[in-house]
Amino acid sequence: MEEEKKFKINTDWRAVIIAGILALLIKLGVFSYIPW
Amino acid sequence: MQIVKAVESIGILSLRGKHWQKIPGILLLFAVGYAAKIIAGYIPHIEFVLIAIGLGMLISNTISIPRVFIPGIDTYELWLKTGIVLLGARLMMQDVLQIGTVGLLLVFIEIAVSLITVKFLAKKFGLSDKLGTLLSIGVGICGVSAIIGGAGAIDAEEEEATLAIATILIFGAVMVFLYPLLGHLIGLSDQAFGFWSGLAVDNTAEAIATGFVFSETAGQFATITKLSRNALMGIIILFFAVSYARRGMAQNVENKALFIWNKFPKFLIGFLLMSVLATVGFFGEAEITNLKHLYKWAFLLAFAGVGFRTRFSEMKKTGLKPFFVGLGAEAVVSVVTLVLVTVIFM
Repeated sequence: MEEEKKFKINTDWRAVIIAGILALLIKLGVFSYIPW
Repeated sequence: MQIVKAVESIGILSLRGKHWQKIPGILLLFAVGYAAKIIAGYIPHIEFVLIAIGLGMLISNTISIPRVFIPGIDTYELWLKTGIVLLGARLMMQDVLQIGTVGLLLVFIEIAVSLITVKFLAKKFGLSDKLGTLLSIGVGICGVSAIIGGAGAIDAEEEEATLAIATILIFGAVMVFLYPLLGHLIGLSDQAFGFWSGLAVDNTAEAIATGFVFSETAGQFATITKLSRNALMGIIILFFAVSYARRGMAQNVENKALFIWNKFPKFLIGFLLMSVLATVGFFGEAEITNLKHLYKWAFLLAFAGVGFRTRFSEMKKTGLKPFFVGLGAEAVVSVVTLVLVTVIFM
């Protein structure tokens, strides 16, 4: 149960944090020159 | 701990390992995703999603993947959730609320049909009570995550969780390829197909992938509908946990609000926050375009990982009886939800 909780919390919040950082980098114009 | 073993025994997740050990596998996901993007450019009418999954499946089912890649491949769920959060910036809050409200109403019907059908079939086929419950949670709500959460809550055996997960994964793999074809044959609109895949496909990754294989708009509808389903996970699992505890077959749930919160998909909060930011104009047009590219890349990694995880040799671990219960339930749920979306949206 603890393992399951730890795993779930890790991936859920990590995803939010990674997406937040990426959005911030976009705001700062870091991705402006990437040829997608 | 036994649930972690059950999940790992089926070879779909490795919950241990240091961060640097994930790098080779992530690079492999990136390489397969990039290859899928290039191939998709040469094949008309085939979405990159399908090629990413297909390439991953082809590799993992033909050669033995070196162990060094496994921890990184297992990060696919992180990229899926990151992609979902980023996708929030592409959707205005009013659309999310509108689609989510309709989706939630349909989800209630879908969950009721799933629970009743699976429980009935499980009894007919003589499956254990807890395996029937895990299958009904898997079909009704959220595939693998719900089964893992449910197995812990009702004190299910390791073997029951393994069988339920294997059964759900078999149908998920088939649906990604089959349902978009059916949707085009029937002539469903993007909206109707998005709702259908969000309702009928069990696992979050496969439900979203199925939507995106049909079209980008269908993928967005599928994502919101599936998230509505996921949001109910805690409540449904709590219902079963309390029911089993009353019969003395599982531990009591002390704090019900905390139980629901622990099962709540937290990335949904990130998705809604992104949508709020987009709605208030926090992102400019060029930034929204960049966010779109980023979520597509996150999905490329995630769906390549879904392909790698779909190993048919591992799926043989499902028994014949759980397979037929799953097949019957998926057929009933798919037909009922298809009729619903056709009547409402066509």
